[in-house]
Amino acid sequence: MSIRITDSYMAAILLGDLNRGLGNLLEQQRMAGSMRRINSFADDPRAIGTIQRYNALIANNTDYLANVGRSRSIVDATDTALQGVSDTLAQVRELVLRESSALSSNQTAVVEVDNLMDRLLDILNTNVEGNYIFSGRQVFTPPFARSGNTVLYQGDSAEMLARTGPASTMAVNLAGDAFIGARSSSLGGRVDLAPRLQPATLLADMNLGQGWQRGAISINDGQGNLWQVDLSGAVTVGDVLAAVTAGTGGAVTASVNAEGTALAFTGMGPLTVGEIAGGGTAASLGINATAAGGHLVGRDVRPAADAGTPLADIAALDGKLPLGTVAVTWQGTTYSIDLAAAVTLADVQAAFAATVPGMEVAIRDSSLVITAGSTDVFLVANGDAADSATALGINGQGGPVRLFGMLEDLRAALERGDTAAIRGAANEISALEDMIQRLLMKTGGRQNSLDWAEDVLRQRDERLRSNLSLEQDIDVAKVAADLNRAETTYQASLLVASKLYQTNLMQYLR
Amino acid sequence: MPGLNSIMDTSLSALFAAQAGLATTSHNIANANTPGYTRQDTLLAARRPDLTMVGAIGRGVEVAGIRRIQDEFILANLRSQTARGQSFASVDSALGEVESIMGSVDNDHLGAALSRFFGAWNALAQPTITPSMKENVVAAAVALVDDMHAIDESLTVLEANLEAGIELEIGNLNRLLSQIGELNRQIMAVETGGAAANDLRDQRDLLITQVSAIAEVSVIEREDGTKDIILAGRTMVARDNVTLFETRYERNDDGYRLMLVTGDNKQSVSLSTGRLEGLLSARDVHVARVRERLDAIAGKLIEDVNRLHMQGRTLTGSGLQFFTGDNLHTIGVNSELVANSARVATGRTTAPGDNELALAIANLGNLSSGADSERTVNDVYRMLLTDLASSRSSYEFMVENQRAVVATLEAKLAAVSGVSLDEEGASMVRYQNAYVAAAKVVTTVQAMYDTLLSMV
Repeated sequence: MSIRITDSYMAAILLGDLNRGLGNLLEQQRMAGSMRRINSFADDPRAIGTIQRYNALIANNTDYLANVGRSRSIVDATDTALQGVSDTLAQVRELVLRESSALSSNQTAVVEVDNLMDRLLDILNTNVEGNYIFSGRQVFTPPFARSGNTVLYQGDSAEMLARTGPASTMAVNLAGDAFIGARSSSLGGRVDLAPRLQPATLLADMNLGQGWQRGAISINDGQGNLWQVDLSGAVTVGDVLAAVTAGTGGAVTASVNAEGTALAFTGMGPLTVGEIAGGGTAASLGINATAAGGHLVGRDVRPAADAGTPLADIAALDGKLPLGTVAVTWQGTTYSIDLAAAVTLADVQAAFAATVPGMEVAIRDSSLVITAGSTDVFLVANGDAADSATALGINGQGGPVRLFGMLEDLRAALERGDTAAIRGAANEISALEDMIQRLLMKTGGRQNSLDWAEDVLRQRDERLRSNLSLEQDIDVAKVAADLNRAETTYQASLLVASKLYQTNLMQYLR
Repeated sequence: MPGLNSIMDTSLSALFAAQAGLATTSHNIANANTPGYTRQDTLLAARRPDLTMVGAIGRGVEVAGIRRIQDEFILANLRSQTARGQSFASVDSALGEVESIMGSVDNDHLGAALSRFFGAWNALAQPTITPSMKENVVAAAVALVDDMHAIDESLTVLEANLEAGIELEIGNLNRLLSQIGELNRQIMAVETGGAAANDLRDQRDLLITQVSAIAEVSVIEREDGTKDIILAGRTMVARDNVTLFETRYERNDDGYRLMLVTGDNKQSVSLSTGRLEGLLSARDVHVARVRERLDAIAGKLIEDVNRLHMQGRTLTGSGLQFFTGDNLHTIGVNSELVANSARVATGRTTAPGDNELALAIANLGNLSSGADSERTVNDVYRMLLTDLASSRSSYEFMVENQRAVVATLEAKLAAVSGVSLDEEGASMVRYQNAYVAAAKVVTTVQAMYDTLLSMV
């Protein structure tokens, strides 16, 4: 192509190029200055929406994290309060045990009960940032108020919801009506159903499931013989028995005592069993003791009863098997529960669940506890001559679990000196302790949920922030390189521009 | 046979022609940097010869005319592309204003105010409850409404600025049209005498190019050298007859709107492209759409929050509207709530700990999964930003593109009609040599005369 190259043509082209170079340089400088890839809506319209979305999500997420923090303060305060109630109940139990054997009414004990009631009021009327946590949704009303010798509940039974994520809410409060028997009735905890110790019993299950401490023990037969028996390879009770007999060359025989509760060592006496080098093995097996003679019997180291425990293994049921029927009267209906086919405790639980809807049998601390889903009183009695209800420790009357009601009754009984009524309070205390335990577990579960929610939210926050950064932040190395290139290009165009006008025909005309 | 006189005459014509050429060259050099200047060329033609017995003998050269070297096609194309470019640039700059009103990328203040408002509800929805949290909700709502009003006001100012820009351009346009009419008259007067009014034509072309930046123009040249200017299908300049534009405020749904009218019957005009059209479409299409979206955001916020809040109960009453009004301009926080934040409801019961409504209102601040029916305020807001960003981006691209097109055409035009100093230098040497040669012939004829006279 042949084209006339005029001065204005050159100027137009050159200015256009210079402008473009400078524009490019400016854009790179803006990126480097703000450290952002996007400085104007026009830079990347798709990313504008995405960035706004991420910013909104991060703001929401930050709110949820704050929610988790605030929920935690309520759940933690609830946990502390429940621990306080539990501790106070232990004192009440102590007082009941002491007073149930007293001969006359004790006015100091009445004052003591008064004080314990006040302390419980104090514990349960706790507030977080001015909100009473046991009042349900009546957060500005103290849940419990004492009027004379009775305590009234002033809250409601509603749950307070907290938002812990985009789609998740959880209840954070415990309404105080649980403490006035408004939720359930309960009965049980009378008979120890722990199974007998057997050679096949796992050492890990011993001591109500606490297990044992692996190691060695020392045995002194009082005749100058000292054996060290290494039990670290033992898995079952039988392994321990065999190891002791073998380790002492037959001089000491180990066995399970007749009741099936403890280990028993027999040899020349006086027998002493002890630890080696500060270990805890003998203590965990319950036999770190000295016997006057050649027969040493340890303490009760039975495992805990659980759903799988065979009824035949339970000492308390000796001579009571097979079980007969149990009669339950509840809400005007009498149910007959046939336990004849029951082989394990789970069978007993299943028979209850199948026959009486709304009633639940739980195994707690090796005892059976019956909980009914209403506040109505219920009766459990032996259905036939097998006396199964008595044997299982569940005969009697189940009633509402009342915290202050129990204390009011106890106070009245103490004033009257009614020993039987005082002793009766112990049952209700067990049920209360059971309930507090359940509430503590619920609270613990909520604490775990909050931990989990916080973890999830923190990870989400990190992910959102890193995505946002990918969307809007620059790659520093790339921008630095681009900036350098843009600068060089611009300088080159300037140089060319300055040279361009230097050559012209006019300079050569004389 | 030609006489010596006749040869002398021929050389003289050459001297004149060289002078004329040099004069044009010097005119070109003088105007090398004059905007709108079109290079000129001296047209030379051989004189009619003397017919003799031996044949036709030339009688020298004559200057046939001075010609402008112009490419009307490129010029017309440049004008229409300039009009498009200016139209895009006007819209782009208005969208840039809207972007800065909305807070650009770094300072997304409406988004932040929305987040703070729903964040305050979230805090209120959360056990434990304190009265200051209700105060916070009201304060965040007031801040949100203030931000919306500030945006509303800025948009109104922007619209007023656009209208001021329109008035200014109308003034410019009218001035240019009048000047073109005047130039038409002068050119007609000069060219009736037969000479070409080159420089007047240059000036007129420059003015027409300026008109084309304001509004796309069609030009029809008449036999007498005048040019008719046609805008939006109307002949605004016919010879030296000029019709002007006027602005007029007419009432429409949103109040008074500036309209563009012309002629004796004040008919409204719709221009196709150009800076004026850009300003009008920025006001009527782009800013109007942003306002429409913002109205939708305000409307949705008012409707959604009120629907829930009116179900609420507090110890002091029930069912209050949270927001009043129905669009960006009229939105407000219910004055009863501002006066007494305790009337902010958190639940459908009077229990102070009932937070179900507050939870539901806080959920309005979430982002939805995308279905139309589930769109939240935040979604609508995000759509506004994306929409604004994409039109901003496409206009910026079009402006850039159009700038390149115009630059190419300008360069092409410069290649045809621009002054090349090299070329003028060469012409200078050429005319100088021609002049020297012609002078030499004169000297030679002179010598011949001397010889002849000495013979006598």
